[in-house]
Amino acid sequence: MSRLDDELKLALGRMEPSPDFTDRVLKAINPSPAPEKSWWQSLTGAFQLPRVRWVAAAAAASLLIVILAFQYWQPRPIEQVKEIANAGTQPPAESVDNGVAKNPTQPPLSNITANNTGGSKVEDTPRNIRNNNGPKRRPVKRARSAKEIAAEAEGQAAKEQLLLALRIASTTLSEAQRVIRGDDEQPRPEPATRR
Amino acid sequence: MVGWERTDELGNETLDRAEETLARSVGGDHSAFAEIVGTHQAMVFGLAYHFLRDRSLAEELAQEVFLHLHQNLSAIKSPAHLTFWLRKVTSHRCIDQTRRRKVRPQVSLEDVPEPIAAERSADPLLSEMLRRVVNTLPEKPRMVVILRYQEDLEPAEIAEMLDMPVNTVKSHLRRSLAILREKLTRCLGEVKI
Repeated sequence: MSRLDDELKLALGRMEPSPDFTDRVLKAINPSPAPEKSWWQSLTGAFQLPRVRWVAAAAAASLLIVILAFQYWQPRPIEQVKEIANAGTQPPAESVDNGVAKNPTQPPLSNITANNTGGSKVEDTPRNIRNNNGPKRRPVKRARSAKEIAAEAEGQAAKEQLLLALRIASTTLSEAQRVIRGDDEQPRPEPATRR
Repeated sequence: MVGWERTDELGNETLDRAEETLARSVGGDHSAFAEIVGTHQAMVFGLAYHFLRDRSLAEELAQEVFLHLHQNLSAIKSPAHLTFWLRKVTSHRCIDQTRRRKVRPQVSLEDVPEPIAAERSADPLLSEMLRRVVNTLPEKPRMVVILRYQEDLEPAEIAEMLDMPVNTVKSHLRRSLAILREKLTRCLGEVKI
């Protein structure tokens, strides 16, 4: 081995970097984590996106409409139902005799079937009523039927109102979605050219 | 057998410890990785510094190499493979960086200061001059010389590391030494090297 080889080995020996080199490498490997956002910041941050903002507004509006609809078409209080029921239990004498209710909203009593005789249905036709004396008229039974009718009518009304409210909410949501999509798809209006 | 599979350079105890450190590091132990960095930083930084002749650039490059190592720790099979991998990645990165930044030799032979005295006691100056002259070599021969004399590698190992034929490595070494001897003789005059 020549002297040049020796000199080259001496000249090109290993060299140490700065004393903090290892620390810098480790810092680069483990960068300090970003400060964690609170749940409120995360929540508000999510609404910074324009699409999310629109959808949230539409959802809030739909919810509000549904709540208002429920408030407006709330089922009548029990007192009102009782009044209607009482009205049904004390029909005018002639209407009982004829088997036809005076109240046009109530179905005629003659159509009500009772199922209290072991499955055989007894229809309260005027003839049957006329032929039955005292206890066979069954006033309690008729009062219960009137209550049921009133409750059923209320239920039907509530159901229709609920369906209507849901339909309104659905339409509003669809409209909001259409607006969101329409914003993206609509071409930009061309600037008016001056002549 | 590839170059990095030779483990006869290390003693059994050292080998066991290095393997344990590597295993812990692969498992996510940062102190073990810090140990690996501490063990190999002189080699990586030395290669980069002798090639680039810029301390901050060399440190930056060495840091990148260790970051790359951290991302690829699972691919390292043994301590010998680790050393081979670090040398190889550092060499290629140095060459790439020089090509990318067009870092040409910063000092021509004419700019090399004359040594005050050509005695053995003036070795630091001679060493500095040698480093500068090495830096005037083209990229691949420069890296061949640095790997040969810093890491004391055989031409076959250098060839494997730099992905070139062994004969090319030998040829680079021969020509580089001839150039270095000629330039040094011109600079140092009568002093025979």
